[in-house]
Amino acid sequence: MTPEDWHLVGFTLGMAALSTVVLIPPGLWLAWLLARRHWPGKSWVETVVALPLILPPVATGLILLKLFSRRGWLGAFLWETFGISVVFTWRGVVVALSLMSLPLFIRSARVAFSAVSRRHEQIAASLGASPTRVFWTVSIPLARRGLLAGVLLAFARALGEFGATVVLAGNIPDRTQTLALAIYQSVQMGDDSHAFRLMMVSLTLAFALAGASEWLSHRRDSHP
Amino acid sequence: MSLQLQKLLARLPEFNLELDIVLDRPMTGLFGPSGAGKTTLLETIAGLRNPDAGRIVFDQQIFADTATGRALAPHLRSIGYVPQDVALFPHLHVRQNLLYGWHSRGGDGLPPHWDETIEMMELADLIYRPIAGLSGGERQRVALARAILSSARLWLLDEPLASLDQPVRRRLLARLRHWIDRWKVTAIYVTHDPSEIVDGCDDVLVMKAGKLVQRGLPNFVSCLSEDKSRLHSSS
Repeated sequence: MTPEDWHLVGFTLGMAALSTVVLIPPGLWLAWLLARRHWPGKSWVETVVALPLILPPVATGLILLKLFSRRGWLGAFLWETFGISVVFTWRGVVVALSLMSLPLFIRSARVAFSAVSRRHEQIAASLGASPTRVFWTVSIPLARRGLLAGVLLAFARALGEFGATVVLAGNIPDRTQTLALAIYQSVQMGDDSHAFRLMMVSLTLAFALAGASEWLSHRRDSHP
Repeated sequence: MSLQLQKLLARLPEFNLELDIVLDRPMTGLFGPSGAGKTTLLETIAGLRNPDAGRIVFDQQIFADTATGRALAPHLRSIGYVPQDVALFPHLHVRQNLLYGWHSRGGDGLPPHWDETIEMMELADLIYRPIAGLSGGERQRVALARAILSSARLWLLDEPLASLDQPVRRRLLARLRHWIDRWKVTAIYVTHDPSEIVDGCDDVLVMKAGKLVQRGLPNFVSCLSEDKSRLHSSS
């Protein structure tokens, strides 16, 4: 492994971590709304949230590119208001990874919230806890293992993301290139040994994350 | 302080809960066979389920009024509810459970009657124990103390002493009664034990299939044992 390779691994881990942090607040909120509330348009939102799982990642990337380019309505707003550019930057990597990981996190979090006893939430309210306090002091702690498994899953998904990232952020070494993109580039250039080394790093990370997620699920089964 | 249940209706699968009464005594005993609607009544007062019709007013504060569509959120009702299933928070230890209501209602540090409550409920040795390790009786004492320490003005007690030994039950009931008078709290006390009604309550309601079938002073409780067996046999 060269220093450049280690830099690449660090960049990928950092982008995956940042994208996971970014998706947690909206993901928690949406998952709780889907698990606990009935509201008009709920099934429509459920469909939209699941779209990144079903659409080809490249197609999702294309939608993001249209939205975040300087002529897209989100991209124009960000550029004109804050002077921020997303396309072909590290911010594009974060946006693509967050969006592609969001459905997995929401699915795990929704199941975790649904498993929380409503009884405890009700009793907390009867003892004077506002809905916000019930959420933070009862719902979140009781759902914590499922939520943590969702975080791991989202992080793992972000580590391996390819299609949406390459379209929105490009494959620019030292700027937007992640492990998955570097493996693809090495294969394209016929540098199999480099591709193999990076693949082994990806495999190790995936193995560790899958093991951690499995351990959490097991703990949840044995300590409901 | 009075609790008014005006033309209250809650539809249940097997019968309708229908009451039109004013509870104006400090401690009202609620008596009746299992499935008579006692727990449903407490949960409707607490705001954990909405009535299908009627009005609930406590101390001039409207808890619910279906005519205007008004329903005060449960956390604003100043309720101390001890449910039959106790429902302690499993992720918090005993002390955190006890202080949950007090802190939720904006209290700081420890409530003023903390030491007295801990001593009376014999909770000093349990204070940092996890909930999972408590016996049924210990859980019930924690649930009762949690409601008492929450600084509520209306206590809804659903068989709060059922898992305790008779001497402990008698002692705690006397103390509950003392606190109700001293702190000017209103309480509804559900029980299957007529002796608890004689010892603690000022007013007794007997319910069957969602309706009020008898109401009186506790001295008519001598008939309750007989009524109880009759109510059970006919339900």
